[in-house]
Amino acid sequence: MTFSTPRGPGSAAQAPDLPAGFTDTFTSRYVDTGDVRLHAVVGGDGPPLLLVHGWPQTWYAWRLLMPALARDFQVIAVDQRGIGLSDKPKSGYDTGTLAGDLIGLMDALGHQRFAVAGHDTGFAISYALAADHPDRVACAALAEIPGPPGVTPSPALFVPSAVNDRLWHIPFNRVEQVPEQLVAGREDIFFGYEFAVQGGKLPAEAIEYYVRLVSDPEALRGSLGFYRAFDATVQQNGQRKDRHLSMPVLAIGGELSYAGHVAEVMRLVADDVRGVVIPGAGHWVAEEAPEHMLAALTEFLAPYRGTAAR
Amino acid sequence: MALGLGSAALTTTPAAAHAPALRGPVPTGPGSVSGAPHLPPGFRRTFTSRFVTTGGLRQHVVVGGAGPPLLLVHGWPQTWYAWRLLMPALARHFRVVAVDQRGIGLSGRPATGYDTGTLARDLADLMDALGHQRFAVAGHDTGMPIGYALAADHPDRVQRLAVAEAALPRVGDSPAMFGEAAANNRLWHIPFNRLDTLNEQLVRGREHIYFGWQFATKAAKPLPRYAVRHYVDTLARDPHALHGSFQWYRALDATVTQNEQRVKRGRLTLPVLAVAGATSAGGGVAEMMNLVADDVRSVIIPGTGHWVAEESPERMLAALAGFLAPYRARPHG
Repeated sequence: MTFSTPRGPGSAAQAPDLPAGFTDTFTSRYVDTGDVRLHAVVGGDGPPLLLVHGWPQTWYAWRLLMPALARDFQVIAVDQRGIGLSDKPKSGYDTGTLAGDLIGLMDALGHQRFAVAGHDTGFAISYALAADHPDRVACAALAEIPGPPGVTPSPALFVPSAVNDRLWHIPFNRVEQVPEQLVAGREDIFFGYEFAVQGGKLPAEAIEYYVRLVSDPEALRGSLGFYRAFDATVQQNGQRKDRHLSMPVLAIGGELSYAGHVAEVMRLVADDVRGVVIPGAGHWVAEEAPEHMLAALTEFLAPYRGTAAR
Repeated sequence: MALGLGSAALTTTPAAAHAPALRGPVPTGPGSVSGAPHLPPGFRRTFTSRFVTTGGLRQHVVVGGAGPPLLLVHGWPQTWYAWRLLMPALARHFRVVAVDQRGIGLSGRPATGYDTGTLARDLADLMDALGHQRFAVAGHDTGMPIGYALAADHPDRVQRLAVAEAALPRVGDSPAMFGEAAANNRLWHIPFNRLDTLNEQLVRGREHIYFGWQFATKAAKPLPRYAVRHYVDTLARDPHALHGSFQWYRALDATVTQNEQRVKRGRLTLPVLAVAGATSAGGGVAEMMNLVADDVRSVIIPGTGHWVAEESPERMLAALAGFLAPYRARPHG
């Protein structure tokens, strides 16, 4: 286990527009799990809470919630393998391996049991984490995809165009090489479209920051790793879904995005699901409606906060 | 048998004798017969490019040969040129009409009208203008759903329908948006092509990457470099060509609705030939057509990918010739 100080625009020290006092509480760290070196932004006091961002984002997606959460929890906001300041190996992007990365991270940080919150691709990874390591995950808050890939039948190829606009990036991202070749130098166009089409609205500065981080050949490739491992993840989920999750699950949907559908699907694979719909929010729930998200998470995590051993 | 107007023309052999529309302007340059590279020997003696204007749309057709009329409808991202290797042999028995779809090649590019109902009407109007009341149709790739629409919406016009290498959108079990990687490689262009503008923004200036990938990965036998270059150049040369090539996909909502109505209206009763490359659509084409037609025969061409008419022209020709033999003998059906 080695700690060193991450630098550069992807670190806590150099991220733009953070909440007041953020860097007093939080620091960027590198944690070597043995397989990969992951970047995590860590701070706060209390039982551990792991935050797993989605695509095409980084730990930064959680920034508006982190100071409040840090009053009650030790918050660990990680960059997934392939993303931000974390290592970007050629392989290992199926959710089983990505969940294993997070186990390695929490082991290295000394946390046996923890709560996890995952958004978008982080939802699928957190689901794998809870399903594959049920003794480690006390509870899971999962936001803004309609269930883990493969748990329900795929939508049809010829969906209505409005739906197609929101889903096409998945078939596209899965293709080898062509996405990098078409997107390189045009990251603002491609990712700008994604941020705009998924419902809701982020500040232009935040979008520019995310786009800057992914506008590098290795970062672009790494950001697509999850999608290139889709077959393996779907196959794994086919096995996971028969073992229902038994820990408490909070299923979060943005009212303008997947809304109540998130909870509907999670009830197929978990026994203790409560659903919450974040009013007025699109896909980017933690940034569009941080107060609502915080309220939902705080209420959901209260029992964990009360009982978790330090 | 008695078709009245036009029936005499169908059996008249000299091409010029029944082709008043061929007096129109003669297209030249890239995209036309005179500008196309590496055509089979003698091609230009048999075939000529013509513009035919119908209902405000200028359609480019390559026409030649003598016999009952046979309409050839190319797919994406191609032009009439996809049929070039079959055309000379077909022209010995048929009046061959190889069209550029609306939006593509040298045909006009109106802002709208890319649903298969409108595209089929374009072709019915085209054949009217050329004096062909009844005709046979072969459609490849996007030309397959257009051929289906033509047969379903204009059953009195189409005598025989050969289709190749596509699905009919939302007929039967739709393929999955998230299929296995191999299927995803075959299908991801569909969700991508449907986008309003982002696809053009990403592909512009990189046409050789996007379209080159399509040609390379969907072939069992690689297409000749000159052919790929010709298709890519056609799409890259003119700033509006890219837009036109995506329009078929952008109209899919309307095509899907129309297909639901076509299926409800009833099954095709005309003879149908379903052609597939063994390493591409395989048995899927015949399965699809069996859902909508009563009289389907299937030909799966071994060792061949998506580009059946260019990868295995002899086998494709044999399949078409066998299927069309009764039509050739009794063109009035």
